[in-house]
Amino acid sequence: MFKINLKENKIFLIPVAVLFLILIASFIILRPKISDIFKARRELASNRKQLTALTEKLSTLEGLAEVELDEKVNNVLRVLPAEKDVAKNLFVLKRLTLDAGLVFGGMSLGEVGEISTGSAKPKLIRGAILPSLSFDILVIGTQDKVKDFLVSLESVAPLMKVTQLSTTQKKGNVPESTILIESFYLPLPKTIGKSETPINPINREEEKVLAKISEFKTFKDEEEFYFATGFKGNPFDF
Amino acid sequence: MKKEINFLTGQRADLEKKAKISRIAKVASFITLIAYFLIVGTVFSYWFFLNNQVENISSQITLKKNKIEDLKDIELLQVLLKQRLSSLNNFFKNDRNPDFVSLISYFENVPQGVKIKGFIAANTGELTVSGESSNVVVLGEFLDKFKKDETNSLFSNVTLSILDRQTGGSYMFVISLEAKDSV
Repeated sequence: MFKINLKENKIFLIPVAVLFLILIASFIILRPKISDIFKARRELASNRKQLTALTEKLSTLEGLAEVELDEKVNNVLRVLPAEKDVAKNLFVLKRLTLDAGLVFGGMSLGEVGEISTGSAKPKLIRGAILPSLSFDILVIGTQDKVKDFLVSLESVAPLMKVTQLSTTQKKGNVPESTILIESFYLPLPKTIGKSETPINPINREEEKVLAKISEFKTFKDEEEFYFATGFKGNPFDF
Repeated sequence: MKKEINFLTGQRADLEKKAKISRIAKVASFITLIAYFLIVGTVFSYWFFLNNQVENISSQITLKKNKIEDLKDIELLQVLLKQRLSSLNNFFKNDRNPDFVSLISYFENVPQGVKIKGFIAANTGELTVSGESSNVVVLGEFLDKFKKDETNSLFSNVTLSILDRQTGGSYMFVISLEAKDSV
């Protein structure tokens, strides 16, 4: 039978004990600590990344002037409102026809849906980029006046687009044009994201868009329009 | 002559060897233990250093988050501006529509004897023109003009859909075209 002679191997007792101690200590203390180190390194790397993102975001935010930003936002909201503003659109269209010297023959609205865009889900027409409201207006006047109307419609707030134009002229009569117009809106973003979500800067193309829409004409408030034109009837009664 | 054999010399050498090995083992064990403690110490120090770093960066993150929270109004405005400008840019870039104004101008300048009675233009590109011509010669001229102008930037695919001779000798016509998108 195999027997260890302790007396003979006494000299190896200390090294064996030391090795045993090292092994036990490594298993109980060192191994968990090394695992903690890896965990801490991962956390540190992630935190550093987050800190960099936050620092960049903070410096971007500190570089933005609130007053200027507010002005720009008001400008874009003027052109692309957050809500379906039926009344505003009606007034603008009527005003444009009057300015072009056309006679406003009437109008009809497409499916308006929910007015409050806070709760309403905007319906996007297939292939459309922005949600819109449809208006069908009838104007009476010469082609030149219709052209003036179409030109002015391209640079007016809120953003509108002609989707169909039909003109008829009966013998001796002034031409009548039916114009199908879409007026665009865009609900406000629901969230601004996490605090480390980077701030997307406005790129050059968007700056150009901003400059372009800054020139879009805005009609004054409805009240002023009433005073200016003496219009005191029901705004929906065209 | 008397010879002496010393049996203790071999035993002593063996004992000395054992003592030497024992000494080496003790010293090696001690050195190993010291080295091990050094390694453990280094590991703990590094862990402590990392923890300190994590805490330090975490406190910096909290500080930055608080500052960002204070600038929330500006962030909201920027997000709103970006959302709208990006959508508008996309709209202006991709939205295609026929040039309604140029189309109206085009149909205003028709040859004498031709009268445009109506036209329908849609943003899908469908364009229908209806009118009346006093006689077939004038109508021919009008159609020739269309053919010539077919390659322009306003329309293409000109098709005479309806041609109807009226009792007075005039011709009623309906022409279908494909309006091109304005760029």
